[in-house]
Amino acid sequence: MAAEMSHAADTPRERRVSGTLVLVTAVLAACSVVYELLAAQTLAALAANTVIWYSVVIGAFLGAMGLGAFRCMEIPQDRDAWRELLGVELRLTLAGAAVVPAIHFGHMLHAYLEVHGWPRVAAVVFFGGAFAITTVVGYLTGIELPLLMRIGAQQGGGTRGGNIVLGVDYVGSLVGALVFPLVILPHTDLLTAATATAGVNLVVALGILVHRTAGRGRLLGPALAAGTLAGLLAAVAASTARIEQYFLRKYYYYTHANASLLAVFAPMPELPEVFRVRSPYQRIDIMQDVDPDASRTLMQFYSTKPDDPEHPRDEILFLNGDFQTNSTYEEIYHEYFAHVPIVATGRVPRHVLLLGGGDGYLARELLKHEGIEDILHVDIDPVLPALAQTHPLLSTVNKGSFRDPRVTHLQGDGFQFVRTTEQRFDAVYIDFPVAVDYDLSRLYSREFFHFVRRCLAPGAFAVFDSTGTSFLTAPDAAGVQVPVEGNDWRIYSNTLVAAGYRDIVPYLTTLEVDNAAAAEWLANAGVNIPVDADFMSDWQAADEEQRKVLRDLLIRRVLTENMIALQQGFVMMAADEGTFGTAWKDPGVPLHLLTKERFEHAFDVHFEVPPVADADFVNSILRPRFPTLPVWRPRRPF
Amino acid sequence: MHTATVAGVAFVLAFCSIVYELLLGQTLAAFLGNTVLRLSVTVGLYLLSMGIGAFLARGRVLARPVLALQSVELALSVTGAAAVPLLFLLDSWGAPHAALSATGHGLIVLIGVLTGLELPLLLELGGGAVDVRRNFVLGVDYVGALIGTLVFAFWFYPRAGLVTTAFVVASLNAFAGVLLASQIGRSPAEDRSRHGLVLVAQLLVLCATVVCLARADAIAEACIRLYLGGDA
Repeated sequence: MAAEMSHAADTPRERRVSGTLVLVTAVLAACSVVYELLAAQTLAALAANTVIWYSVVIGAFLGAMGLGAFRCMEIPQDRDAWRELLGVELRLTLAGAAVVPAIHFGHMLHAYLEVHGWPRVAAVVFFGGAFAITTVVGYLTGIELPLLMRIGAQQGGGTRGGNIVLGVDYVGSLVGALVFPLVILPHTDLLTAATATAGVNLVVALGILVHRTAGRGRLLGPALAAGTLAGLLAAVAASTARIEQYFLRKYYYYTHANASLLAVFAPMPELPEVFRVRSPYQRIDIMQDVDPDASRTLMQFYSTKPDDPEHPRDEILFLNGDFQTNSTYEEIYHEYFAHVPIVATGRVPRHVLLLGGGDGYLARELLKHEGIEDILHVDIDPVLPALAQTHPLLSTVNKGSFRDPRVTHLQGDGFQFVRTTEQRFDAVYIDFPVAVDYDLSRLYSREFFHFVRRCLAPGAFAVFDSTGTSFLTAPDAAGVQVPVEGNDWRIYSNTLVAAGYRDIVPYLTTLEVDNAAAAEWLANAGVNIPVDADFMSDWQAADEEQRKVLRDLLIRRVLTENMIALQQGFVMMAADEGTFGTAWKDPGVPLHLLTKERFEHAFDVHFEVPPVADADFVNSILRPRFPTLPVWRPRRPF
Repeated sequence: MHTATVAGVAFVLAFCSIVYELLLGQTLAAFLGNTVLRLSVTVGLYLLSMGIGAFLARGRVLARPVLALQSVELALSVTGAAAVPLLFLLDSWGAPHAALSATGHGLIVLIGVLTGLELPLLLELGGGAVDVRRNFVLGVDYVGALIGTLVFAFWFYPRAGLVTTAFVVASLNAFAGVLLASQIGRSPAEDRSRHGLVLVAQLLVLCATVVCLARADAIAEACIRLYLGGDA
């Protein structure tokens, strides 16, 4: 060390790391971290659980950097390090630009392979492909750094120069790690970011090409490569909006893209455009359901809403690629959500807290009650509530609910709001997306529900949609629906008990299957009903009378399947026992669908509430119990 | 020290450090929200502070690799075990978000710097001048970090939870620190008493983390009650 210092002091001019090298190192380090996070974010967007995929991608990237560092040791010391760097940068430009599209292509191929009977191959292609491209970028980054350190050592007197480069590299990495979540994610799409970052790598390569290798032979290859890459990047940059639309269509209309291997990649101009708005917190998409199933038509036998010609149909709202609400039958969800607890408590709340629900649909239902004096709407995302007031679909369906003078908007994290507020409410409506990652799991945690309970005035209630409690039920010996393996009820119930609730009532939006009009339509509409071989042999052996019975059974089965597909679970809860009754009392507001019979039917489930919380099933911020979805599943819109 | 032993220690230490960092990032996310931002900043700060640590590993520190490494492990196991409960304590005392954030990120940097110090010391112990051995240790270090991120995301956080994980990893870290005592013979005689002190402290920390691990559920419950405030 002392020797190095004196050495550096002897020749202060010549033995300094150049400003160019410092700048190049910082910029390249930032670029590499941005690629790493782009890969993580793209994978997380297409495979749900953010924390898991971030961790895996970061780990794979670090491991690959180690490999790259090994590789660099094999490059002879007498080679021109700048020249070596040129080759690395050209490769990194290509690999970096490919990060986002490669993961999207993997996702597209996954759907095709899965549908055609190769689910395992599909998983390997998608996840393996994502890790492969991450590894390539990490590997090239791993070669880059020792090369820069070598140049630093040549310029700055041995180890010291190398260490300065290393230090600058770390600072550059930090800059990249901050720019990504603070600038790139809220302000641009991932493809544009990847292309721009690749452009930076290419500029560095061009700089080396022009300044550092002048007069040394064999530059034709790198020059041609650089030119090609420049053209490629320019072409992508000029059409990022179109490419984004291409990937959006592939994501939402994946059932159309599965027809053949050609269709997987072919553009689908015949399909409607997907509307997308980005906010700092989420990607808001609205798409057209181009091949709605039978339940769309069946709705007219259950709801009076389809009679309304103004009512938009088949438009679906997605947040971060996850299904939120379909305009065709959103009233099932929102009428049960808003009115069942009000009917069950027998009184209309005066002061309401609405957490989430940025589409304004639930607010529309609540505003039907004139007894509700004010609604405080807390949403972390300012963009969706604003869009709810301007977008033709959202503002039509929510009937301008967010412009109502009774609604006040507060932008902020609902969790922090309930934790810190001194206000008390007569009702808390919690309308958050499904807990598909650890971040959202907080909003269904014991801690969150505890703070919600603290916000409740005496006699007040809270209610939320408990995805994962519907579908997974089966009739018990008495014919009442009970949860089966995989049902999330055990997590919800234990979490709510731990959070101190004494009255916990689950309910399901189960529509009746003995609907004569719906059955008749199914029998006559020529809907394609798949039947198995057993049914066919029974049918052939049956006489006229028996066939009628068989046909009725079949129609009932199909109706059941359609109604289960529309089923949603909710949980309403209160601090005191006896808050909720199950007797119907006309809420006195116009309803499309909710009736006395359906209200009573909603409680036809037997979901046990444990007397004491079992810690193993309590969802906590210290130990998330959600998501319960399998990890190795790509995200799909439906 | 055999290269294999050093590589084993390097693996364990890299594993522990990345898990500490992820624990802190996730705890901050629990308090402040926005996991993506927390994870990105955690990784960026971790890399930066590892660089600072590597830069500090020279001169007198590098001259006494065993003592330095023992001290680093002592500091890491204490910091790693205490970090998560400390944040909950701070929060329950009414610390504003800015103070929580500063403490959390300060701890991330501290753990990063200590981790950055580790690697050159290990290389000094195990590899010496031979490049191939040094590379082997370096590679194992990366693999440790890779495995750490995977185990954290798939198992530690969703199954064990933040508090249990902190004590599991700190115990592992403290155990590795105790094992380093086998290397004391390499140090000059005048350093022996210091070695003894650090070793005793490390043994005490190991006992403490193991006891905490046995009581992890109760400590986690205490953390949650602190967080929930008076009326839990």
